[in-house]
Order: sequence, then C-alpha cells, then structure tokens
Amino acid sequence: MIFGLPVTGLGGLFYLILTIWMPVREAHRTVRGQGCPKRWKQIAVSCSMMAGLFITMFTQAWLISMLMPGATAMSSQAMGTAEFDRFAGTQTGGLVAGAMIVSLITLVIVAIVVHTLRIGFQVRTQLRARGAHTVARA
Amino acid sequence: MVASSVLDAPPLPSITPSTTIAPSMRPEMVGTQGDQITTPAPLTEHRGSRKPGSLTVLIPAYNEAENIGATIESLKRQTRKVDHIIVVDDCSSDRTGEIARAHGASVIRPAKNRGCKASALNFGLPFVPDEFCLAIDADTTLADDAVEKLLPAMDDEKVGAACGFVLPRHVRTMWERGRYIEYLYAFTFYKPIQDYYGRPMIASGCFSVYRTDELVRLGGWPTRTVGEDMDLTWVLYAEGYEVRYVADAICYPIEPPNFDFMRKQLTRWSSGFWQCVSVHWQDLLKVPYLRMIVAVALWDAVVAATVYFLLIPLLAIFVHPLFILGYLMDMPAIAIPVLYGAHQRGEKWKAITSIPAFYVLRFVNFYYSLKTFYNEVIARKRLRTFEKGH
Repeated sequence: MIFGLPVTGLGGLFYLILTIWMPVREAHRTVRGQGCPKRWKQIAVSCSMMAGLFITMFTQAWLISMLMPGATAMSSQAMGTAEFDRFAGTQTGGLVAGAMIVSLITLVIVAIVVHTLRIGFQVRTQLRARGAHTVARA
Repeated sequence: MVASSVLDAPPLPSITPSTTIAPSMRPEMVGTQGDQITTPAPLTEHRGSRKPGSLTVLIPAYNEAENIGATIESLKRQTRKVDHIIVVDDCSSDRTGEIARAHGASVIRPAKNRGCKASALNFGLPFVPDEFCLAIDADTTLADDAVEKLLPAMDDEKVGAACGFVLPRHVRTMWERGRYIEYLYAFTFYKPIQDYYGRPMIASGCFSVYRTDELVRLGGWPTRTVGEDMDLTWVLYAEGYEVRYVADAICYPIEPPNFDFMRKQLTRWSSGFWQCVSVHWQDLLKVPYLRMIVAVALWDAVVAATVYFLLIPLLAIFVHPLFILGYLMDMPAIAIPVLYGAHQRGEKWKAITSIPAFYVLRFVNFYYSLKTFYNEVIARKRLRTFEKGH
C-alpha cells in the first residue's frame, strides 16, 4: 500500500534524500572494506530514477508556467521564492525551489518531532530505571 | 482469508526463548476437539529439532476452491524444492480442502472458523516441521524461481524475514490496473531504497518467509491488529532482526477486481497501519530509518490526502481553474519508476494504459486513508472485522 502522494508529497523528498545519501554511505562502506558490487548496481538504478524524476519535475514546472504564468508567479510569491525567478531570469525555478523548500521545512519539523519523542522516551525510561534501582536499594 | 468475523485480541504472552515447539502460546494455536487433520502423509504437531535449510509453505485458505489448485501447482514447480505444503482450510463452505488434498498438500481444518488470517496461520504453525516457514496467500502463485531467489536472504542469521516483489496476477479491471501501477511504483522505487537501509516497512503477508523457531517464540502472527504482516514485521525489528526485500523473487496474488472488494481491502490495510502505529510507536522510535519512513507515511496519509481533497479544489475554484492539473502533477514522476519496472518485464504498454486507473485508485485510497484515520485515531472506533480483499 502507498501512503501519501508519491514523489510530490513529503515522501518524495524524503526518498530523494535517502537516495542521495546511498552512494555516500556505500562509499564509506567500501572504504572500510565492506563494499558490494550488487549494492552499487542498486544505487545506480535508484540514482538514475531520481535524476529522471528531477528532470521531469523541472519540465513539468516549465509546462505549468507556460499554461498559467499568473498562477505560477502567485505561487512563487506565496512561497517567498519570486526573487529566485527574478535573479535567475526564469519563470519555473521559483516554483520548484519553493515547493522543495516548503517540503524540506516540513520534513525537518517531522524529523525534529520524531527525535524529540525518541529522546523524551529514552530519558523517561532511564529515569524510571533509576527510580526502580533506588527503591530496590532502599 | 476469513469472511466477516470478529477479531480476538489477546495480549501477547510473555515468552521465553526456546528452540522447541510450544504449541499453546496463543489460544488459537491450541487444537480443539473436532479439528481435522487430513493429509496424504502423516502430519502431527512438530516437536524437536528442525532440518537445516528445510522449508514448509503455510497457506491459510477460506473459500479458495477456485485458486488453491493453481497456488499449490506453482509451489510444486519451484526450482528450489519445497519440503512441505500445509493448507489451513479455515472452515471453507466450498471444496477448498478437498482440492488442496487432491493437489498433494497436507490439509488441516479447525473445528471453528478462526476469525482472521493471522489466527488461521497460527493454527497451522505448530504443524510446521521445517527451519523456514513461507507464508503465502491461497490466491497467490509464485514465479518458478521465486523460492530459490528468496531463501538465500535467510542465510544471514540477523535476518528474521524476507519478502519478494508483488504483482497482480490479473490486470483487467480498472481496480486491478490501478493496483498494478501502485505495486510497480512501490516495489521498483520505494522498497529497494527501504531495503538498502535494511528497513522495508512491511514484509508483505502474501509472500514472506520467516524462521519457524522465532515465529513460535514470538507467539506466531499477532491477532491484535488487522494488519498482521506489518505488525509481525515491526515485532521482528523490535526484537533486533533485519527484514529483507528480494526484488527477483516474484509472486502474483489476485487483487480486488471490483470496488466492493477494493473498499474492504483498503479499509483493512489503512486501519491496520494506524493500529500498528498505536501498538508499536514506542518501539518504532528506537529503529533508525524506519521511524522516519513511518513518520513520513503518517504525514502523507493525513496531510497529502487533505491537500488532495481540499487544497487543490479550493485553489482551482478561487485562484485559477488550471490548478485542477495538480491532480496530475506527479504523473511523469510516477511514470519513470513504473516504466522502468514494466520495461524489465516487457510490459510497457500494459503499464502506460494502466496509469489513468492509478489516479482513480489513489483518489479512493486517500479517501479511505482519511476515513480510517478519523475512525481509528479520532473517533477511536477500531476495525475489528477481518474481511477478505477479493
């Protein structure tokens, strides 16, 4: 089962980051003598697909800007990335960059919430264990 | 595998590690008077050591007379021999058991319907004599080399379960076509990335292999949620095991051919996800990568679904009508992994013509995702009825 909007949702950005991290992680493994040619092949496939996704995202944003330039400019304005277009002289960069930035900020917030919960839960477990130990000693 | 029955949800018993079978760890694992064990070869509850590398296939079945024969025949064609095939005929009212026996499988039949697929599997678990237990659905056939490709993943002692690539056997109706694209996308793009990080979110219940001793030690398949496969996968992670996804091991289940069955399946899957999160959230926080995979899935299930139903129509009404194109925004991005996966199978045209159906299925999928979120999380009305998905 697929949850969310594949690729354009938060999942899309998350898997993009995981894909970018794959060759870095594998290079580290290879340096440590744990490399595996089969894994490199898989990384090449995933990275190729991700490159294709990037190209189509920009192509699509360009098409949208052709179809509805007003709406594209409004979206860039709303996301605060209109300057990007003025600077780069494009109509699409702002839209794509804006979408990426909004998703990235959301992803960072989700990551912060997850790790805060994790640390909070870990601290609570340790405090409970310490409390039980103190009671046992008493 | 069982139609409209109420789930029992006993608490997990405290279990000590053991290498021998303890058949009464869950209530449903206890045989009762009236259980029938009919087999071509003698079949008894297994006690003692297991032959290394041996494999039993366990198939829960309820009214699967039409499909069980093909399933067993596909097992008999495997390039890597299957040692035992056990069908749990969960009080079918058709000839499921008879047909399974005729095709050479061992058949066990409880005295009463077990209420859900997990419970039916647990009924069969004590009879599994082999080191590995492969659970497959009664409507699922395997590629001839599926077992040969899947089993080596279990050579690593740290691996607790392995699953394969899932593709619908029939791609005819709109719903089957939508599911075909959904699977091609997920199993070509998401799942290999999850596997690289050692954290597939779920070992699909229709085709996964486990270590029998560990399954027994853990009390079998959990019956506390309607997503027993996801529940078991996350139990394995909590126990420190890894789960592997093997893209070359392919299985072909029958997917819901119409809206009625699709609705039931989506409701069960979505409810299963929310139930698993509520049961496992503390353990999930300790598992690197998986915690973020699940958090992102949670976010998208609620927020992306809301965007789909509310934001896009509002933008189209109040800003610009062409915002309606937002529904098709990700078509090229979906098409790339889908066409890559389809190209490998020589099914490009089938994939291209099926893509529109994916959008219909996704719309329905989001609706049930939001509905089950409301029922399970806000209204606290848990789904406790296990209904067949086809």
